[in-house]
Amino acid sequence: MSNSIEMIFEDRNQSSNEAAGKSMDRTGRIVVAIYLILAFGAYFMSLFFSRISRIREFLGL
Amino acid sequence: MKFVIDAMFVILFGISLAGLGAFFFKHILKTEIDFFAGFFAGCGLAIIFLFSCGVLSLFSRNLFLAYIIFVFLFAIPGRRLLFRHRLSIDRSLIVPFVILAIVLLLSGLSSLSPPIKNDTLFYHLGLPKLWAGDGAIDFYPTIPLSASALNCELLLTPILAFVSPEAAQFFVFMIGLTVLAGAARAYSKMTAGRPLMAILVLGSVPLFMTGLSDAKNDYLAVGFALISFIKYSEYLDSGQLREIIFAGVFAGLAASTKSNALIFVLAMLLMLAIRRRNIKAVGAFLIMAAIFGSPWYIRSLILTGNPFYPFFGKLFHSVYWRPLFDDFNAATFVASEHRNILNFITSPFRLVYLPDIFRGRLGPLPLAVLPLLMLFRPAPKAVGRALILSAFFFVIWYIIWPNARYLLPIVPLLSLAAAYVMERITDSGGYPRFLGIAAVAILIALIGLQTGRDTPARIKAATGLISQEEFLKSAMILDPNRPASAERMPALPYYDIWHYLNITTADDAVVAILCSNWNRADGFYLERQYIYLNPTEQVTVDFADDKGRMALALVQNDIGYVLIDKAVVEEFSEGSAFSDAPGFSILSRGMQNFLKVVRQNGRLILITDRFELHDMKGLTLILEGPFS
Repeated sequence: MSNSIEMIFEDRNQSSNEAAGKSMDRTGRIVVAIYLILAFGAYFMSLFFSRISRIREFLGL
Repeated sequence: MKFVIDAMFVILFGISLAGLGAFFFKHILKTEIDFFAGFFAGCGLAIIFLFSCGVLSLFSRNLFLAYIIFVFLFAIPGRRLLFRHRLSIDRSLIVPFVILAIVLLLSGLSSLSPPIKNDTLFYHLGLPKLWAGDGAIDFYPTIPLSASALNCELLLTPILAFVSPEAAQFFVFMIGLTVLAGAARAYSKMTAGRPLMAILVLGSVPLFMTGLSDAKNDYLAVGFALISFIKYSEYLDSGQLREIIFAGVFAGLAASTKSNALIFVLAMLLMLAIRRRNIKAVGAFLIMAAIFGSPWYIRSLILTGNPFYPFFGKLFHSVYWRPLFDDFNAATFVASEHRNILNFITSPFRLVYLPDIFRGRLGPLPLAVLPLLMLFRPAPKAVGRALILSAFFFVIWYIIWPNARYLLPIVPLLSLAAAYVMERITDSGGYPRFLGIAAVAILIALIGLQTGRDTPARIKAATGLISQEEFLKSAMILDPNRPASAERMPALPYYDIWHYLNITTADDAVVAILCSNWNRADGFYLERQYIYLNPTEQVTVDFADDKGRMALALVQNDIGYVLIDKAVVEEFSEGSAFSDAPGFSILSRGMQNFLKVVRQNGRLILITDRFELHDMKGLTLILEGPFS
């Protein structure tokens, strides 16, 4: 099982790293940017709302 | 200047431990290891030595002095190993790095202040203080966790006894730093990536960063688990059996540092078993993990009848435990995850975005960016191994006890994978690069703000701007029972009472402290013998007994003084929020009986709005004759 999973993961070196990074096209970048905005945005919102509930609790609302 | 001496001692001691570990590996095992593996190997050797001496009741100031001098002999090889590493700082990552450096500096200074956190005072430094005083690693029936796996507390004992509690606390901070740097080194070695990215990713995990200044034993377990994974990975690459033997040793050391690391051993075994690469490897790993992981559990089995005491009380009956405790504590503990398939599937998402039920924040990086791996294939094998091991760990963790903090052993592994994704994102340039770096910087800054609430006062105390006395009297902490509420309360509301007892009572006086799972006055700053009377954690004074037996138990334990915490009394009285919990009526009756025994036979000598201190010499005079 793990062997088949590990097929996804192969050895690489730094140069192929950079190549992989730089080879991302414009669409790829947009997809990644949207994903990051959603992932981090949702996290910061969850933090914000947890603060709101604390403020409400503090005010007894 | 005390904090400078404490810090210098600990830094030099840590470097020396790394030198000791590396020396042992090089000259005895004929293997070269780096500074980080050397540090944890040195900790392992120190633990074996201290455990042996502790079991044989050999702890003394002279022994600690000899031990410290011996470790310092390896300072030069340790320094040599450390200086082989260089951290190259990428200009694009300079902002999050500077923020992280500031947060770490403040945490480090904070850890050099007198300890004030409840768990630290109760267990992490409380037990080392008791052991150093008693000369042995004793089991204390009124402190149930004194029977569990305690490698970290053992390692702190000589530092606390010979230098100071602040130095011991700073040593744990240094273990955390070593984990951070060790994970970066592993990332760089296994993926040829930039180590700084791994440092930033792990440094953005609130769960990892917020406990750095409080002597938590998790960091040592995490470090052992990380080295075990590295050795396992080296075994897969080289096929050399000795690497899997080392992996077993470090996994065993992790399991004997904190019980939740037993899950790591199980996950590693699953990895090894599923690969079916070599039955010898599975056997070697299992044997070494058992040898190095089992001593504390065997000790617990001998002392209490339960290897996992105080957990699994219904499975392993112990004379020190009542089934009633499990029922009552389970019903009154904070709400925990309701485990079913649907909740399991959504748990990674909720761990990031709705973490309250898991009692700790993992932050978005270790989990939320992982789906992007699909865009950056092929990823390094090490990333795959880290993820598969983490997946096994996660499943077992969810089944046993889904508390976020118990995930810590795999947080560095998840961070390796997340660092790889983040590095690919930053390499790609454009908006993703900016977004990634900005998000990491904000995450770290938020941790700084979160930990910064207690920091100014602690730093003032550490640097001597306010006296220790003044700090301990006035220190405020977040309500430990409701950490999400932002409500602050005095850290040591009983500090003046301890001060009074330290001055006025005989050296051999014994103090009983009435406490509970929710209101735990601790005896760390009380320079007298003490026992904790938690109605749902101990049977030394059994709250299910009648008045006469309770009175007798107080006399048999030579209790000279009893501290009554009215908040605890309220918990077990009519109108309590726990009145529906199983066994409440028994415990409530026991509490009333206990109060009658103390108030009718003792002499009230001190009272505050929350505490009563009773002198119990009268009770001793009444009962000593007939029962002696």
